[in-house]
Amino acid sequence: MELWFGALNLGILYSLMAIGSLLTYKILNFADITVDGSFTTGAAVAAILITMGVDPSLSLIIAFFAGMITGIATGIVYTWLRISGLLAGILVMIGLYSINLHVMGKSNVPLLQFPTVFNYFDPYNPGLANEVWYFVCLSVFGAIAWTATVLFLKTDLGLTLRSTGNNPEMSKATGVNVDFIYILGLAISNGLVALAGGFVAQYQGFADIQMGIGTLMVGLASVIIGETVFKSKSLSIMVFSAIVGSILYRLIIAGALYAGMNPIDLKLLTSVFVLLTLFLSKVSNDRNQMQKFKKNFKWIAIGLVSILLISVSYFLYDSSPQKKSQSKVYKIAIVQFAENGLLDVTRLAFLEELKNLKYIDGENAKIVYRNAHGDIATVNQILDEIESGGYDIVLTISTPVTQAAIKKLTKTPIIFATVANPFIIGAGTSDRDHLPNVTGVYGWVEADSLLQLTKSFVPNLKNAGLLYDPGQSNSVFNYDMMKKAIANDGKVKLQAMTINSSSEVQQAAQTIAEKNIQAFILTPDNIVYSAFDAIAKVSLHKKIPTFLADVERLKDGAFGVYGHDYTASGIQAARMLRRILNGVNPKSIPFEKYNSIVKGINLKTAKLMNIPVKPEQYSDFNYIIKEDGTIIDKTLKHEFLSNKNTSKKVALFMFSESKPLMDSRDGFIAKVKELGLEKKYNLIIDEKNAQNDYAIGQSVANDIVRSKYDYIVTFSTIALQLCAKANTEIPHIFGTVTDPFVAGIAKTKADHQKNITGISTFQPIESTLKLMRKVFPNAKTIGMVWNPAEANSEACTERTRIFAKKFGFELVEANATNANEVHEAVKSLLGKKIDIFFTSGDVTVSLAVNSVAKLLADKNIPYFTNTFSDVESGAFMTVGADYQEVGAETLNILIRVLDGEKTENISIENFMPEKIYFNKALAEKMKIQVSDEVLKSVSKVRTNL
Amino acid sequence: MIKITNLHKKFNEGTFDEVYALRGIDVEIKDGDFITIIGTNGSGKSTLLNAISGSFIADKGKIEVKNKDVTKKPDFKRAKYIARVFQNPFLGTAPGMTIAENLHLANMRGKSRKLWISLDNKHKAFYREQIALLEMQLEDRMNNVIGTLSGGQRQAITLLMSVIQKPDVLLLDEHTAALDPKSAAQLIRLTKMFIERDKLTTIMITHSMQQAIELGNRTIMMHKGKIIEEITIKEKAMYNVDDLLDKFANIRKIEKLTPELLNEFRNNY
Ligand SMILES: Nc1ncnc2c1ncn2[C@@H]1O[C@H](COP(=O)(O)OP(=O)(O)OP(=O)(O)O)[C@@H](O)[C@H]1O
Ligand SMILES: [Mg+2]
Repeated sequence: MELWFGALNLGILYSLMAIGSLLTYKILNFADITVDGSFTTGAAVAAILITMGVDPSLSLIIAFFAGMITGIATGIVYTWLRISGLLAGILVMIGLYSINLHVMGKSNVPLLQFPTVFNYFDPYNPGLANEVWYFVCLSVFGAIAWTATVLFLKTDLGLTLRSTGNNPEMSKATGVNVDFIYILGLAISNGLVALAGGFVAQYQGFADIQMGIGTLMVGLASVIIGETVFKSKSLSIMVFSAIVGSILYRLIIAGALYAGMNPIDLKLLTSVFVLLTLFLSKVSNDRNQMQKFKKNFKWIAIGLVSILLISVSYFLYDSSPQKKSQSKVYKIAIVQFAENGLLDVTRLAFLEELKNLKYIDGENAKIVYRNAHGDIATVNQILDEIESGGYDIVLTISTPVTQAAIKKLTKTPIIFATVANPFIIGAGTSDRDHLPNVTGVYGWVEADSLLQLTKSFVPNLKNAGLLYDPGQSNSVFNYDMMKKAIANDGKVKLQAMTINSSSEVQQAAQTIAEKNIQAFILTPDNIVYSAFDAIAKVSLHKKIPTFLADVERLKDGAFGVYGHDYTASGIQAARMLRRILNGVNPKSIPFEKYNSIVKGINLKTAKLMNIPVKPEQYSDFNYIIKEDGTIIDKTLKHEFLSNKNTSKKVALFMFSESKPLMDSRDGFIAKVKELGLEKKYNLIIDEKNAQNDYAIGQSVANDIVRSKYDYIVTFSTIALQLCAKANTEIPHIFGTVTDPFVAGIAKTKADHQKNITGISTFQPIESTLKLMRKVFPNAKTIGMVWNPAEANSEACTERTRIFAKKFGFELVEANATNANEVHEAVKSLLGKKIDIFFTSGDVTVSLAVNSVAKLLADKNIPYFTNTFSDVESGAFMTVGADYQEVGAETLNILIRVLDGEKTENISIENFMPEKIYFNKALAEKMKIQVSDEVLKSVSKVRTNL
Repeated sequence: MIKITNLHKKFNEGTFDEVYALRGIDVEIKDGDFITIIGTNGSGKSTLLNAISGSFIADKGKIEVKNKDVTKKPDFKRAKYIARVFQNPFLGTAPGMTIAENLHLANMRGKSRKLWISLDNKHKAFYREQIALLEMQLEDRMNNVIGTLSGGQRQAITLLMSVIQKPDVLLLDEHTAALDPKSAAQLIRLTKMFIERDKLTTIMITHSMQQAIELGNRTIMMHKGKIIEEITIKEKAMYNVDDLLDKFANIRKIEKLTPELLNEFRNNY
């Protein structure tokens, strides 16, 4: 259900814009394209005010007034100059582009670290998921907007507005200053649109200079969709239908994305649809033609309604807990004590095997999963809920839950799993003689085997350290077993210490480490194992190896493992479940022991601790972490889970199809293939591209989160920002971002949003200018063209100014705000006797790089850039990132995360694989000599023109 | 009530399609006058009405309404005194709005529009009463949008709208021309009724000689931007349709002559 709330929320926010469009397009009969600019104006004003510390709600009010001013501007142009409405709108919209830029100061203003209006809602959240809660709040807001608009349209002023749009002649005849009414209507409309812009900026977490593009189209689409759904002409329905239209539009987009439709087609669909409807409404004024088109119109309406029906039914289908009801739906409850590796593995294996046994959640089974997060009180609450919930069967994972369950639930069949010893908790007295409603899978770690494993790697073992929680019966049991084993051995002494909570673990570990121990031997204990990180630190620091029973802990730095593979526990439990559901009495099903063992070693830890290990010592191990961190996993778990459904899904999100982004992607994918990662980590990589559209980008980001990807990889700053806002949990690795600090993702290299890390790639300005000096010892002047609208370009120019001075150049600059102006700018610089031409990090120039290079080559001016591939477009020399390498490096970070490192612990480093590309053919033509020293540093040479 | 002196208007002045539509109009209209205007096509009748209502600003001359000089005032300011009904039934009403809303808008003619909902039940009841005067069974359709009504019904509503708040001057520009004979007759009956009821000062353009003779106390004949003939109420009693048509025929004959010949012709008289 929650999946769709993001779309609903966007729909409500954009509905303000739809109401604005309704006021102009439907009420005033005026297709106002100003909204493409005023939407951004609202976002820009709200964002910049918030960064200045203004209250977010006040910022929205000011955004509204700013929007009104833009509408007044269009109104004045339209009425005073008597030019067509469309042209008036275009004029103002284009002017607004510059104004918005001035307001923002740069092309993108991030808001991630600032409060937004949505934070106001948070304290009152009664415990709903954020998106759901926002939806509740926004619905109220939407209802207010609806009522206010309808009431306004019924006032004398509102009537006048409507009559003016309806029939300006009649309006004039009743004494209305029609010009004033147009200005007023445009002001209100653009005010609302700007308000929507302000909201959307706060919702998505940034304002961007481009975000308004297509606003008119979306507004019209919303109005038209709403109109098609509701045929009534009543005022309140008309406004309501605009709101619904906006929401439906977002749902359709979300649905289309969800179903895997390409965003490009979506845009085409929207514009064709709007075009058709505009056309039809035009001919509908002409009766004869209308007759002809009426039939077709019906078809379109039918088509649209069926699209809606499909998405609505999809929505219902997706959200209903039972998709296809069969004769009998089994209610199965899973209760787990805490989040820890072996319990999780048990559950996953159980679920997987259930699937194999054809118990499918949502079809013939309803599987409810509850986790007590390590708290006994919660366990009891959960059990209360289950007792009254009419479940057919309960799976209890771990000893504490089982212990509580067999006391509380005496009628419901219980299967336990991953319980060390069911006999000490009173589940039975032998495998066959047990409580009538209880059966399950168990097994304790054979303490002796764990001790022998420890001794095989630590031959001089005299003292072994152990921690346990005396409050848990299974911990005490496991400890006792170890005590016995050690007593039998006779040569080793046990240094045991009790702990009561995970916060005590580190202290206790440190204390024991002082007691001259040669190894930690940790018997299974929920608290100790879940706080293992703390022990691992002490262990590594003191070079005392740790041995335990949970293979998951090897990655965290344990040395050796002897334990059960709890996958078996889950599988066996699932098979028991089937027998019970098939009618076998649990009483007659004997307890079973787990039937799979894991032996593991971490050679990386061994190396760090300087403990020598010979291959024959681990020849029969089924889980090995090699010195370089790679894992050889032959456990049942790996074979059962990883190969099937625990594949890891990676969303690879590029904002557009620009060359650097596509190069990054290619580098990333090539390396994935080269290293065979798809197989090794069982990766599934889904590529997403927003086609340079912000609203689509937003939907893509929401879609990634709701589709529960395991990892997110983004290339480009906008993709990074969109995902950073939408997601604070899924590990997210970014690349091809010039400056993540400016983008608001991180304060410092180490202090960044927890789930996000990656690499920054700043243009190598200093080395480029140094190189220029080397190649041209006598050059005096560098010409540079850049677009002040691009934050990145501005930063590069700033640096160039500094280093030009350092290397003794004079810098002359010219600005270009679009690709067409680039030529003029270059020509103006050519008139100023420049020796070298340079551009860096500027997208506008990069769009025209071919022709710029040609222009410069004709005038014998060497052209340097920071985009590696520009030599292929005719530049003289480039120092740039090989974005394929940037992509590959981004993958390296992902691999570190896949191997268990946490994103929050990976600092954001600058990665600039500096490569020089030299156009030797051009140099020869220009008769420029390049020294051998320089040639040596060149990594790629172009030899023919 | 209205005094027009030496009024001139040229459209598209100085271009290839320059039209000299009004060439010095002088006329005085007294309180309570009901004037009918007849004239050839393109003689400037509509232009004269538009000049009075302020659709454009005249090139030369003066227009006074109630002794106030309104020559330079924009149309929406003159609407306070002047109500009008156009020939085209689609022009006088807002088709997307209800009958009640249209009447309400008309009732606010010349008043400022507030951010307040004033179309209440009291007003609605009043509009219902008024619409009943049309005898078209529209009383129960007050909340229907005008777009669903016939041309005759719309034009009747437009007429009602123009008199719902008594105007100082009522301008009617061939307001029955686009209707079928039955609807036209009904509309004329209503027009007469309202004008007599409120003693409205009225200027009405018509192409029907019958109407020109039957209605009003004065008739003006226009040709080529000039008033060429005025027929007083006394004279009207003596005229019949054929006489009027004769006059037209004469004008048409004259029209066939070139301007030079016309001048010669006049000089000879
Ligand atoms: N807005 C305008 N722009 C240009 N020419 C105009 C305009 N309005 C009227 N004219 C011209 O002025 C002349 C007088 O037009 P007007 O509409 O006043 O004639 P009329 O007497 O009402 O004719 P009819 O009996 O056909 O309604 C015509 O030649 C007409 O083409
Ligand atoms: Mg006319």
